[in-house]
Amino acid sequence: MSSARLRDAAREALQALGSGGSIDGEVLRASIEVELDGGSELVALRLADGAVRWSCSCGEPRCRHARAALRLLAGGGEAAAQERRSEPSAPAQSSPDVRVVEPRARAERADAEGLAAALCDVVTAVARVGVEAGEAASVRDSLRPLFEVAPQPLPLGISRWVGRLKLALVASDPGALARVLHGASQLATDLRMEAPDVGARRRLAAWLGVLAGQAGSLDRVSDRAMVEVAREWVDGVEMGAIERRYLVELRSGEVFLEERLRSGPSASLGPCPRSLQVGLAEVEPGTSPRRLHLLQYAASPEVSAHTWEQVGSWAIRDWTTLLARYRDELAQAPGLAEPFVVVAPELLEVDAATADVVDREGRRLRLDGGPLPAVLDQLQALCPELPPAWIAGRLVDADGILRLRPMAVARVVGGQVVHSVL
Amino acid sequence: MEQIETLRACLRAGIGRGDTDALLARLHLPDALADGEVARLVVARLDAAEVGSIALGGVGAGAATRREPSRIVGTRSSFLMRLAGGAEDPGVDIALLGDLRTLQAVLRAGNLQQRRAAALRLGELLADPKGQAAEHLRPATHLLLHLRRWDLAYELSQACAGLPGADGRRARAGRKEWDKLADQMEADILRYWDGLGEREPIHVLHGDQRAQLLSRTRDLSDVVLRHLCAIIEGTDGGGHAAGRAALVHALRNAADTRLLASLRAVLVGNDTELALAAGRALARIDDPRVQPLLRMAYERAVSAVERLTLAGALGLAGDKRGLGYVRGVLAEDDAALLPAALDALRYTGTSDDVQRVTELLVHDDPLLVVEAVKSLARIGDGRALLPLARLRGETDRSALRAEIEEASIAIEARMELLGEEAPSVEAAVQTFDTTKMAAMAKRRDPAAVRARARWCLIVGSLWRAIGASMRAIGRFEEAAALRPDWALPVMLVAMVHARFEEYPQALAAFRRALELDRDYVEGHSSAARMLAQAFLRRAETVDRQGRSDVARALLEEALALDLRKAPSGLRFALTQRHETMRGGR
Repeated sequence: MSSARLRDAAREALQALGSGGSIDGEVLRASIEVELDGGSELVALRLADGAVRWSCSCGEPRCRHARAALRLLAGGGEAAAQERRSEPSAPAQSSPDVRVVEPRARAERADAEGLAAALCDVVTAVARVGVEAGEAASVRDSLRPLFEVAPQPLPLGISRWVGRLKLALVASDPGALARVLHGASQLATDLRMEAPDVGARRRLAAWLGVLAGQAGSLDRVSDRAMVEVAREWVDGVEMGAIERRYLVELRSGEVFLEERLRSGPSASLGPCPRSLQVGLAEVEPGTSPRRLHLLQYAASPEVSAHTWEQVGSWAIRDWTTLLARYRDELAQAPGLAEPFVVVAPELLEVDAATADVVDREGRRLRLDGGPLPAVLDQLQALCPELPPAWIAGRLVDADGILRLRPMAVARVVGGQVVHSVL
Repeated sequence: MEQIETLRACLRAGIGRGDTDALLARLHLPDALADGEVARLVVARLDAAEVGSIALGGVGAGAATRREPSRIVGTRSSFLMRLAGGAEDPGVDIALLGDLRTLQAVLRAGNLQQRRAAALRLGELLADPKGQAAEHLRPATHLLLHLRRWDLAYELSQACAGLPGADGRRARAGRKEWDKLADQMEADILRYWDGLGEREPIHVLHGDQRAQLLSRTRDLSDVVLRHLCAIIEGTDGGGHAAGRAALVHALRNAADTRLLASLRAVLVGNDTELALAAGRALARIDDPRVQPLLRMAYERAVSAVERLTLAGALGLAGDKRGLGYVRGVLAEDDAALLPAALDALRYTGTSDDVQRVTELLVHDDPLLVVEAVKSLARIGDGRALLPLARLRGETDRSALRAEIEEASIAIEARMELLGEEAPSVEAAVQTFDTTKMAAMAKRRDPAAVRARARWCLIVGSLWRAIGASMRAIGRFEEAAALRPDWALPVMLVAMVHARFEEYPQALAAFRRALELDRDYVEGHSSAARMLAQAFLRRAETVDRQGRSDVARALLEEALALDLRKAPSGLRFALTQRHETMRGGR
């Protein structure tokens, strides 16, 4: 039996390591991959209130994968024999707090050449009339074929791109327009590649998501602790059409993005902020922040002060790092990159016209309230004397200046870190 | 740099315009390139150049307008406008007021922020009533204990908890019960998210339990608040659409900034009814983000009901830009929209709307009549007292009588704060009857209406000349009702009152005239003299009555006007009196 092989291998490895003295720690959680019938599934187990609770990526509460994993932990032999003899009377011990999300239907494969041509047509039509023409009839006409040839349902990346195009036209900003159109032009090039390189594959995933038949390109993550720090609604084809939830993975500090259309199926449950125990999730190989699809998770509205401190430990403290990263991401994925960061400033400086956060070298990062400048008033009201512990938000630029659009702030109150949504 | 500017100019105007060959030459591109290729190269180059030039901000780098345009404020600087929460630069901090009568009046007649502050301040003073006159303590305590205003429930409970004696003990016992409910709710919510509770805990509460829990939303823990946010956004997993809507409605008076982000998400969502409920709830949150959010929603609103509801919400949040729209809907007299229009007028209306609203007091729809009464209460103009009194005498519906009583008390409280007094019954009858007739006449030919208004002015002036003040006032009010944007007849009403030393009534009329045409009134030398005199005499009277806060505010209101046309002696007297009062503060 495979369990026996893993146990035997573990025994040999332990012998090779040596005794190491007594071990007082207790194992509370384990993830075990079980291969069965030509496929493999991941079983996540944890000890809670004296009982073992589990969930399996196959979605079944009392599956054979779970049995195999339990058998491994139970030690096999007599335990396995008892299992065969016993009545199946014990109810399924699936974890009650674990929520399972049905994998979403993937968009059909893209008509690559058709999509590339449609994108080029949009670029040409918009550039021909210029930003001063606004959303001219020719621009609207050029978008129609794009929607017809794009994968259905419309990928979030394309929806967001259309939203950004409209914003650039409304703002009459040639720089912003150039970025958006350059992104479309780059995507067209990527679509026409016979063998897309790494950068192209990342961009394609960011634009189109993972299409049907490409599930193998997804990364899987399991058994992670995350916290949602901010949430926003951004424009897509329609105003406020896309919901974005920014999750910080506490072990690595990486920011993930859970994204959905307002009109689409609901994503995971829970408010912002919330703490998440991720049993299993799929991650798209796109630009940062990478898009994440929770499959099995437990959520709670309770977030400890320690968790906020952990987030702060990953915060960026040097603004030159931010600037380099921002430029790099924009260059890698023009028209699409919208980096989300957590920064820890030394100072918050606010006057009537501007608001800046200052790093330890005195460098200034401008704060930008975006469509709601009063956000900065609220930030100032929350941090009247001491600087914030950290601020989370999206990086943007305007007038050649890098800016942070703050969405959440953490500050020290009574010796503890407290989070507020802006 | 020049190339970047060329690229920007090209993308600004469009590559299809102008001399393409020259453009290609400037950009060192081969000629005879197709538009598509030119576009691709232009955007790529410009984007690369822009990205490469992004830098960190320095001091003064990049023009950035951080402040939203200031909210619309009235041109008056009356006491109420200048109380903290009622004006951009508050001159009077409610938290420092010491007069129980003034605070009670603010509690009845102020805007929402003022009433909240007044409730808390009253509670502070009554918790330690040393130095307060005994005859003022009882009514103030009674008001705190018996004022049934759900929008003030939080502040009233805080205030009552500090009262001495049995009243305070009862309030504190109520607080303990609430603490138990809140703690149990938090435990149930954590169990729910741990998968140990099957039903969503807020949904299973009875309506009164939910109301009790939410009466102190601001004291709920972050865990409970976040769970409420999950329900608002529909991410609680309970799947109760009706429960979600009920909760958003129930949170109308929660006034907790932690709810703002979730309410904002709903405000821009597709569910109109939910969005409007969220707008009403947002309007009651004291936060700088609220007004811009409501403004954006108002400007995007399509249907009349949406625009009216959001106009009211915006008015409650301190921005009355929707008033013109509300008045337009009222003028159209669409029965389906009148309730929403009256509700909006409650937070946006001014004295100029009193006539229109009093016409609705005789409407067939009893619910509409109640809305009209509530609007009159909030507008607080003394001309509404007589029609309200008449309605009270005519109706047998006790709920309506109760609303009328509350409205009358609120109007009188507001007038007290402004140094005004109700007109005499005779004058009020004249005004009420003439304006009623004028309202009916107004619906005829505009030219005839204007002619009639001029005629009324002439007749009124004749009555005034022979000293028949009541008749003169009646004619002038009729002229004002026929032409509501005409300051002259209103100014003449004020001058008649002032001539007969009816200064409280003169103040009310002068304020109306100033709202209509401030420059005209200030530029009229007789009016300026009488105006200054009315403010000074009234301030002296009110000060003698022990209402120094109101007296000082009257003087400050007068000194905020352009009184160059008034005699210098009067201006000096106003200044002197004000300085004396400030020195004695």
